[in-house]
Amino acid sequence: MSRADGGPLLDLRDVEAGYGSIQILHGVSLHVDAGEVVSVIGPNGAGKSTTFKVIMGFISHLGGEILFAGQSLVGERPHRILTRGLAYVPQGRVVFATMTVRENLEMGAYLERDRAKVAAAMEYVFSLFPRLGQRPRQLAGTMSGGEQQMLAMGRALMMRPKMMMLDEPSLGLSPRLVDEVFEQAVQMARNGLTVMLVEQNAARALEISDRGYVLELGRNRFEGTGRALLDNPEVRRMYLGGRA
Amino acid sequence: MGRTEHLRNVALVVAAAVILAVIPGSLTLYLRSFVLFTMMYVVLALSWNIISGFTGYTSFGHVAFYGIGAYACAILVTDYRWPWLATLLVAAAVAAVVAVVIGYPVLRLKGPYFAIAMLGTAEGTRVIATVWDGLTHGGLGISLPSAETSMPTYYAMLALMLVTIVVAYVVGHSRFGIRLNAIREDEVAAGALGIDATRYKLAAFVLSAVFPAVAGGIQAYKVLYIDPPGVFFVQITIAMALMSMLGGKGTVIGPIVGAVLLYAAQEATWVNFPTAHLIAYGLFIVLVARFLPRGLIGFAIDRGWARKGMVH
Amino acid sequence: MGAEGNGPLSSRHEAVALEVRDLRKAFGGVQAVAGCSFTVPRGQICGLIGPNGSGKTTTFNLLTGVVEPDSGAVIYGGEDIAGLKPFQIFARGITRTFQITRVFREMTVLENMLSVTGLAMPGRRARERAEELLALVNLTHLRAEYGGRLSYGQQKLLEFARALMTDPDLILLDEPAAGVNRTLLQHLLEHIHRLHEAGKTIVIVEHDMHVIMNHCQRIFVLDYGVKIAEGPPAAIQGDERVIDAYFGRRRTRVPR
Repeated sequence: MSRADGGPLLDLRDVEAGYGSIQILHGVSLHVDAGEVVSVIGPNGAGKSTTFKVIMGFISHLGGEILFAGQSLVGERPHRILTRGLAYVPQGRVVFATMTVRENLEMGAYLERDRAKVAAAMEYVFSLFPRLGQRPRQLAGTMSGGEQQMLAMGRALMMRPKMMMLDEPSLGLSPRLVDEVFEQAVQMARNGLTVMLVEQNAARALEISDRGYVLELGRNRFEGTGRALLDNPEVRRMYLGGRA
Repeated sequence: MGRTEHLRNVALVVAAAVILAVIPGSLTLYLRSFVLFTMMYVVLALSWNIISGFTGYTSFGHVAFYGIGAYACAILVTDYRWPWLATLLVAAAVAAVVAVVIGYPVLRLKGPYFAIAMLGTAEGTRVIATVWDGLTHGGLGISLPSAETSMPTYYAMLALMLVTIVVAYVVGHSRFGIRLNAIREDEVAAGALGIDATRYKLAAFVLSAVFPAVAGGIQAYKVLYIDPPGVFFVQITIAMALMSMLGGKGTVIGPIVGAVLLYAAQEATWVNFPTAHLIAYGLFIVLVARFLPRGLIGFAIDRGWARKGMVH
Repeated sequence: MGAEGNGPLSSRHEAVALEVRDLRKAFGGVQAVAGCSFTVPRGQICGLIGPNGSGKTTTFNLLTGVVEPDSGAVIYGGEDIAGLKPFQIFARGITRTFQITRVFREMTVLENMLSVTGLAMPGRRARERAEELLALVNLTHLRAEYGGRLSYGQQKLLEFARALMTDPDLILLDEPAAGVNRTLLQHLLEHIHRLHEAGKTIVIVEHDMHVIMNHCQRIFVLDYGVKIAEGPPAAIQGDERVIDAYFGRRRTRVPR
């Protein structure tokens, strides 16, 4: 299922990007159709997080096209990209520790002036993540890692995006919490959101993905359905610098 | 630095010493005082620079040591009839002990916290001086027995200034100084290179304390009356800091230049515009921080008129 | 550079440079290092790797004295150095570099080199040694420049040269490939191999698999705070436990 005119929701073609004089992405192409869960995996230094950063406009775009819902994102400021329907949950569960759950969520809707819409959005987030609704006044800093990740995602949802980009949601979490977090991602997908994941924990990410892309050193290496990539021994070996 | 450069610097200092030793007789009382206090500020600025410039622990309470020195001398001379010169040694010793005792806890603090802790220390010492009147005569202050002329204090201050310059110079051009700088730049990296930061900081702190204490003692004997607010005067700390920063924190010449320039400027404005003095001070601090963050010497280095670094 | 260094290892001809025994360290409720043990053979280039959260950074910090262990030992030159402060560890002949360079920015390159302690030699000799090392890394022309004005790559080389002033026996490198371009990395690796040829022991913590697999002789893999595998690169690359650790393990039931 894609957009009305059949194109993908997010489309990257031969994207090049980097930090100052260091180029990280050397022509990466991928696309995400509406309603899909797509993972971008690869060993350290592959450029996974950099892909998100160039989409959001945090780092220098050096070449290639980035299209969201048919419109180019190149040169757009990050907060403008948010208003187009693309949400980004950065690495590390960045929640405002000294603010409550409710306040954190309100911060997520900062750009929305309509109070009714903000209230509706909060209801939506609570329906997706009931645990957040159970303790709206808890200080974010006192929550567990998994709950903080949930809150970070909920906050991103406050702008009612069409697509969520999750940057290494399992980072630094114990195995049990990793389960929770991937369950949350699946929850969002079931509710019709398009989800794109960048993950270190390749196996788990591919398990919940419709499709995946494997990057290495800033280039496309493999792509396919989640299942196919999981079953491909070359992909596994690649993580340790091995060659097929 | 090559041998020739060192010799040149020694020659300069000797020349200055000779000139300063010879002139007092031909100066008016006022000018003699002016030169004496300029030399005193050179001592203060150079000392402050050792802990704040080289080591990077900016102290806003160094006047505490100055005051301790003043009181140590004044009390011993007035109440115990000690010979004045001996009291200066006691002043240095007391300041050293206090520096070690305060240094241990306070040097664990970083940046602004250290600065404020030192401010608190200065205020605390002032309060102790006011309250412990059995020892310090409290708010009444101490009147020292007067001397025939003020020449001895002039020469004492000259000698102190020369000692301080030599010490600052040696510190600045030695591996000890390099390590203090390293602590300032990055204490963690310094540790990874074997530098025991605690010991080095404490040594720098003690060094920075003893000379102001002796200066305070000499000053007491010159002015012949001290009381807590007069001696523990926060402006003295500000002056030390500002002179060092104006000249160039972290260099040897910087504090000397800064002290001379600023004290002269201060005397000029104070004499002619007494109220404008404090306003000018404040403005000056802002201007230096904004336009000359590395001081005059730093400015010269950036222009290529002076070399970078202390050890070549 | 002398073939034999100045640390305690050089006076003994042991086969083992460093022995890590059952190190443990918890932060808050999280057990970052949970009984980590491995033995670094003398004179080899070893790699310490593991996915994020494996405890390798904490282990490195335990070895360099940045963090004190809750329990366990680190034996070097016959002495347990666990819990010693960084400057004490340095004094025993172990130096380290930092992942993000920590050169002294407002000091000249030469002053950076001379800031090192434990140089039991007169000033002139120390300067000569500094010049030798600077020449090795091609920074001679920058000796009077402030450390902070150097490019990142030059800073990396300066930090590397600085760490060699005392001719240490054991050198710990914290992600030397982080943020460096291919050319510079090549230079660094050449220097590392030169050190190896001179008989030094080197331990590298790294994410970059190509560096580790192509340049280390022995690799220790950590996961969840313990060592899960050790061996030469070929063995590690084929080790299923290691691949699982990096690639991730599947859940037994698929949720979608």
